[in-house]
Amino acid sequence: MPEFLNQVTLAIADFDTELLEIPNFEKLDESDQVAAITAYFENELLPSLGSWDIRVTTKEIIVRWSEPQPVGGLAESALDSVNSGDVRTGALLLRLAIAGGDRSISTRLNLGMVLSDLGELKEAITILKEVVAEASDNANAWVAYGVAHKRNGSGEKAVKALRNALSMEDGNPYALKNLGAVLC
Amino acid sequence: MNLPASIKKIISEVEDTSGLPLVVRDDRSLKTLATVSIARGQALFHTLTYRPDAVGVNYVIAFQLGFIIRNLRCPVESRFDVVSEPIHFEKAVVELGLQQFPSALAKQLVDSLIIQLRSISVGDRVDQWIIEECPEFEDEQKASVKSQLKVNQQALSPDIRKMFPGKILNANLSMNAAYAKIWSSRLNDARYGLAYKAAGYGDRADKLVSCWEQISKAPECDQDLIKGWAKLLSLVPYFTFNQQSANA
Repeated sequence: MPEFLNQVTLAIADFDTELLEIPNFEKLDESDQVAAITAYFENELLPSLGSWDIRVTTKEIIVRWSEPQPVGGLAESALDSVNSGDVRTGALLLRLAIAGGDRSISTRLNLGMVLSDLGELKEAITILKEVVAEASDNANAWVAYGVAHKRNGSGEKAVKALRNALSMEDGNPYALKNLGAVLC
Repeated sequence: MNLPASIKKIISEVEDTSGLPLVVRDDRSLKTLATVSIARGQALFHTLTYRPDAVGVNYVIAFQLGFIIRNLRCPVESRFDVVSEPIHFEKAVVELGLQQFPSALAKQLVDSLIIQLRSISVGDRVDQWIIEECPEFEDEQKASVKSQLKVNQQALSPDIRKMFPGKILNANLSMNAAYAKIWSSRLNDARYGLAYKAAGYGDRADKLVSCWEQISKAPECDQDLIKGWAKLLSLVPYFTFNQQSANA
């Protein structure tokens, strides 16, 4: 039995079933849903983690693995996925990183931005609201928060957030561009 | 392309058993991964054409060669073609709901379905032969099959599904479901089979897989296998078996 140095528990509700590429996934019974999620982890994610062990239930996904990929490395892998266009996998890796204890501003900001890109605006706004509360001098966080509000149709909140971004960083091009788009 | 020794060995078996040469050529413009034509009548050689950029190209070639070998391992009187003749086509147009399609397209749909009937049912026997007798192609086989499974799965999308009559679609997706189910097991990845189960094709796949298991794997029983599948898929009236003429 290998020694597992890392463990992450992810709520099943936080798993993006779009990753499975199974239309009508919700029509499968629970045991088949669990089998599909297990297969996804076993075939797509876990092979890069060294020795691993996975347990999927109807409530949670528990992944344990040995080095070489530490929890901290998941956020980096997430950015690789996002940069290669695989945004959904990036979101999952960021969730795993956070579930594994990575509470850094950058990881949560990246998850908020990725969820915003995926249209998961309610959750994105919740995460980004926390981020700007903790890092109120982070112009990029305010931009991301403003963009999420813009996408959600909340023009006033978007304007306020984007103006906050400009007050932190005068001339921030993303803030200016999005502010222009909201005001015009 | 320089063919590996393992492919050349299979080619030798084809040539030695049939007594006729096999001409292999690549063609980047090919619409399928590969095609094979068995020498018969006036033809003095077999031909195999493949797309050189196909995923797992050596497996793709071996798979086509496997069909020829399987054919040659049958007694001459048991070698057959599966064909849809005009009388079958006319019946298919009416009974499969193809009247609204241009005749050429309807013909293409019926022919494709009958080709699929043989290529998936007997094709799995060929895949098993590759697994057992040509293990050097394992990685390429898995890569190619995964690629094929992803292509097949596109037919599950609602946009594609509404383009074709229900009976054609059900037969096509049922066969793809059986293929996905058997490969889910071999690839240890339940997602492929479950995609079809979620779409309502789980029971049909189970029946086709069961047919695979119940009928002898001997090449001379391939006709029974195709008949068994055709019965389950309600395709019996739309094709016939023609005994192959010499040479092969």
